[in-house]
Amino acid sequence: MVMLPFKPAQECPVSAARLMLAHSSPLWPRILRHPFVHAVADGSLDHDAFARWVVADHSFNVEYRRFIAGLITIAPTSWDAEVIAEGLPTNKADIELLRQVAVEYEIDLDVDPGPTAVGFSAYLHSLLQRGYEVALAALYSAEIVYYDGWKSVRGRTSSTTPYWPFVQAWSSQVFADWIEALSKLVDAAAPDGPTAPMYIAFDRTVRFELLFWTGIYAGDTW
Amino acid sequence: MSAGTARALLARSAPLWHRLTTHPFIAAAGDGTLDPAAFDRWLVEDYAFVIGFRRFLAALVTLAQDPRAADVLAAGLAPLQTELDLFRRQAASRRLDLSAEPQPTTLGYMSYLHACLADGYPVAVTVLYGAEKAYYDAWAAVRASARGRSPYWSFIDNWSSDAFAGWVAAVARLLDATVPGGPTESMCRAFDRVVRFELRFWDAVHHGEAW
Repeated sequence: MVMLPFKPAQECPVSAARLMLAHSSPLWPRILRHPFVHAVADGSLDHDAFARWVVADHSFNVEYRRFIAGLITIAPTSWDAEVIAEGLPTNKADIELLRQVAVEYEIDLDVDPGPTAVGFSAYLHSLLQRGYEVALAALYSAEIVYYDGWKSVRGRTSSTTPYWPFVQAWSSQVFADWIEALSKLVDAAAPDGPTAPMYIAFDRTVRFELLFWTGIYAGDTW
Repeated sequence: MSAGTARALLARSAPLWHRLTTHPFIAAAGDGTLDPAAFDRWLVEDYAFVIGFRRFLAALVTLAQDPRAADVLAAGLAPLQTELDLFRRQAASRRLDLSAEPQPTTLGYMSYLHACLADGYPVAVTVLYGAEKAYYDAWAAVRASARGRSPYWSFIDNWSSDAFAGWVAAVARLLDATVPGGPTESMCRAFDRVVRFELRFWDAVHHGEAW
């Protein structure tokens, strides 16, 4: 279990996290029905798509680590920094798992991850220049999309598929707890509700995530 | 100083350069056969890109390692205002909404430039050079045939002008002076990706792109 540092709960009258979720809710059916997620769950993902996934996700996570670290450097309080930093060990575990799988299935991690993976991680990086609240909104978005997508298929994914460790990791209670903690940070960062740039960053991150899955599933070349 | 870090980068990307200078979007804009809908898309997308690009270039000025480097980089800012004014005039006359959500490739491409700032000054100057050189070379390739013929001449003229060529050459010299020993692996990768993003950007404005 993740031991988050204790901080007395401060209820915000307006939940910026909930408002952003509501604003982007039309995209949620696309997350929950995405063919890539379903192919992973039912084990029908073909080898080429699996290889694209491992390569793109490895590249993404390596860049994502820099984004999380950048966010920690601009966090306004040590509490914010501590909560966000909880994402780093998880990210490290993800990278190690992807490297291990790459060795096992003889997947070359040095090939180009494709334009969507590069564009998505670059988009997150670019938000660090837009201020803490905006970058935090994107972090929260990226994480909750992942959690909701994989949680939706957890119950029917066979633990014998090679994809189970991924599904298990990204739909776990530990992951859910961290996302809940992030939502509290979002609420505290925007006590009067999300700003327009936060709504945009949240929504664009969801759409990039969908494109990222589509790119893996269908192929994504320059 | 080496024979040319900029030239070495161009040589490595030579196969992509042919695709740039013969891209169907550029060719159609040059001979005037470009579908007006594609031109409208280009206006809206390029406007969004230039807004993002200006932030990138301004950040690069803050990283410049000496005043002469800052002079070169800052010289690129004023022409951007001219471009933005041109976009706004054209958009107003064509009743286009410049605040429309950018396409994913536009957003990914301009974000990539920004993200390269975190990879250090040499890589950031490299992507600046890649983006500008690609634009200049592509439009210069159709300049002669477009003059007096293409309804898009004011744009083509802007990006194939001697003034723009002079600035791109100054950025190349800056790159050579910044990294006299030739490009590093990360510079080569960044340069290559910028050229590929540029090609995708043109594909996307030519044919349209959905999220």
